[in-house]
Amino acid sequence: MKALKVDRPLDRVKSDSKVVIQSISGDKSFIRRAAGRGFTPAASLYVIQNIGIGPLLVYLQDSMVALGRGEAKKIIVRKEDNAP
Amino acid sequence: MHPDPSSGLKGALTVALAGQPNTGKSTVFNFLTGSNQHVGNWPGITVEKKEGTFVRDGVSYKVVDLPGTYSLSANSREELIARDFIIRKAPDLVVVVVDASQLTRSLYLVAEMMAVGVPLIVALNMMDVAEKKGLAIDLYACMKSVGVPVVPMTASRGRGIDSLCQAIADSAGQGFCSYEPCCTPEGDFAVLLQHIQERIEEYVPDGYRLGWVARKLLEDDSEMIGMMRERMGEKEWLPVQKMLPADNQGAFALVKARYDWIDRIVASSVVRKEGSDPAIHRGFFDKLATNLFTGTVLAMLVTLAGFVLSATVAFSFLMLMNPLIIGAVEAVQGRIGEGLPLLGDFIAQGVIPAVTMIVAISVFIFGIMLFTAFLEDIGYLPRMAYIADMFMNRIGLPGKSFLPLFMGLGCNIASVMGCRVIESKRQRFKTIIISSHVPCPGVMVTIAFMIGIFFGSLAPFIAAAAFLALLLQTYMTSKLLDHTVLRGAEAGLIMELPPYHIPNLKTIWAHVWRRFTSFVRKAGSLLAVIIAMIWALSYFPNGNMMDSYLATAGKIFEPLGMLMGMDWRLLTCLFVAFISKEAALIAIAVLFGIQTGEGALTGMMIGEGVSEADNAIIGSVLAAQVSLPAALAFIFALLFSIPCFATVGSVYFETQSLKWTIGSVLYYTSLSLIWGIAAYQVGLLLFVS
Repeated sequence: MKALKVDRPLDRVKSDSKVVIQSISGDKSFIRRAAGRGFTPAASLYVIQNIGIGPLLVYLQDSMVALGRGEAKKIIVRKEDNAP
Repeated sequence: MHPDPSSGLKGALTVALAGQPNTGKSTVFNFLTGSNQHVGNWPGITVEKKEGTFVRDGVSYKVVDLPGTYSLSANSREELIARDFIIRKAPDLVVVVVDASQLTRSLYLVAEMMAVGVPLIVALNMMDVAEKKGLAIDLYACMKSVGVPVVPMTASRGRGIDSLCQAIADSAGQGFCSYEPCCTPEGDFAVLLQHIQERIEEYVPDGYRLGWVARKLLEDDSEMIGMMRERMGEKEWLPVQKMLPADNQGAFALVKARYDWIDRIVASSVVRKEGSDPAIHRGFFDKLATNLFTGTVLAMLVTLAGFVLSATVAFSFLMLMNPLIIGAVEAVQGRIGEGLPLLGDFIAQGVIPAVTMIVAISVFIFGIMLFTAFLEDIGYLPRMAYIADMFMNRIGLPGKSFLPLFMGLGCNIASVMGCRVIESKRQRFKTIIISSHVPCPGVMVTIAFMIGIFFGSLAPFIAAAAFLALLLQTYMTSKLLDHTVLRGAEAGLIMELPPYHIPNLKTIWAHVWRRFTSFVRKAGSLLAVIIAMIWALSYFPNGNMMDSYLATAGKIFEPLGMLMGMDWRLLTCLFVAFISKEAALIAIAVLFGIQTGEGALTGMMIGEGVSEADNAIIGSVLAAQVSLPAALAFIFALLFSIPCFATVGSVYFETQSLKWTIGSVLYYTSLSLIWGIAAYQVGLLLFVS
């Protein structure tokens, strides 16, 4: 049950935090595109900026990416400190 | 060094140049091929296809620049083009350009290529940037772990080009690919991959590597699944279908295998200096550009600066040319006009004004193109799009639509062409349709003039109402498209913000000059035809606009106009606006008898135009002849009227679809009518009681 508390959608992660992707949902074309850019389960990413509206700025696999808020909702992550 | 490209092309070895966006691929291409370039489009779409040649040790090599792609999946048209070319055209060699300062990201395409089974060379570009970032790359270790030749380069300064040519000459034509297939997924998926391979082996067509097809099936790649299902028949295919994992697990496993492979390469060959983590150590400017407040201000200022610069150059050009043009017109009418009056009129009032207009519009468009390419090259454009997305998203448009939409305030051709920066087809088409009717100066001047004359102290309210109506309509158009022709999955924003680069002016210039000349060839001739058409319609049969064909059309459709309270004269002005927004105001002056209708409309568009004194006269004459509700109807009908023909032409060039072009014309025609009628009814309520 403890794990449930720390898993959250990416859009609810604050700026300047490191997280690990747990799962990605959504339609096939989104998942395909996201996966090709490094968004896969177990990949870690760094949230550079999340100001509560608009896209998020994240850093993963050596590149900075702007990710739409709707897309961020589909990515469930876990804070790295709590990750196994 | 660069002989005639036509010689020795046949039988030459083909080298495909691949790479992710922002890896400096274009610069590598330009250095490799010099001036021996040929640019066309990939069949049926507006993605540039660049080809060139170079000669090394007496052998000629044909270089094909593939579109920049992140991977080789079937995610976008660019990716499909790239992989189709590599598999179907089977180039002798593929050079993958990689950004050394972002190795993990850009090696991903190499990982995908390794499975295809073509001979490969990795061009490790931007070595200088990597060094500055504190990355030390052990080339020998890198080459050993990748398993193919790796050439270090700093293409922006021309470094490494010679080594790349040599490496190409050494490897091309060996026709044999000696490296091992890489990136096999872990555990159960490796076994599964093996099983799939056994099942499909005898059905895989020539040119396709078994391992690659199996991987794509495991990835649930719809194109490959379609192909194999067709080749195997339902009965043989079904067992394979059953093996494929659900929930994208196969795709995730393969992507992970590729990144694991990349991680091993990076771990064995790259030493990163402490404190060089780019995620945390962002530059001051980057923080400024991506901050909601300062970023918005910056985006506004930058856009405005580009707009004002381009417009000023175009306008000054017109001003400088004006005396020359008037002189030329008089000279032509004097000399040719005496012997051949019709030809004289055509040249003086059709050709000369047409050329002037085309040149002025082209100067503006060139400025906007140069400006956009510059912002894209230095890496600012995606930052601007990130900021703009917060606002544009509200009306269902992507952040990248901001720049083209804004440029529409100068000329809609510029805005429609500017939509190429938007990658997703769906979003691009939507933005093209919407940006084609951003009010351009021609519309704004005419509307401001009408509001000023008719509504006096109410003017600010009418202007505000028009602006709000425009916003509302933009929103409605966007939603309407979403729910009808563009129904389906939203593309969603996943946009890379590449590191800033020092602009490579040569590459920018080459790119812009190519696009511009292609524009001039296509649109220039189109504009010329259009202006000749206006000339003819407003000149014949009697050489006077008052009873020209255009005016006759206005009279025929007068009953339709009466729905909006407009007589044939205002309606004719609307028709004129279809052809050219700039001409609408002049048409008003002529049709209401303020200016002489002698000659054709196009001739009146140059010269002195409508003077201050004329303005006052037009005002009183118009006010006496047009009712307030009709004036209001005219303002709204003009605001939503179809874009001018030249813009419609560029909509066609950019969408490559007759259906979309005609659809947008019909759509805006009905909008114009609906808003015109609605405004007339509101006007009747407000002003007639």
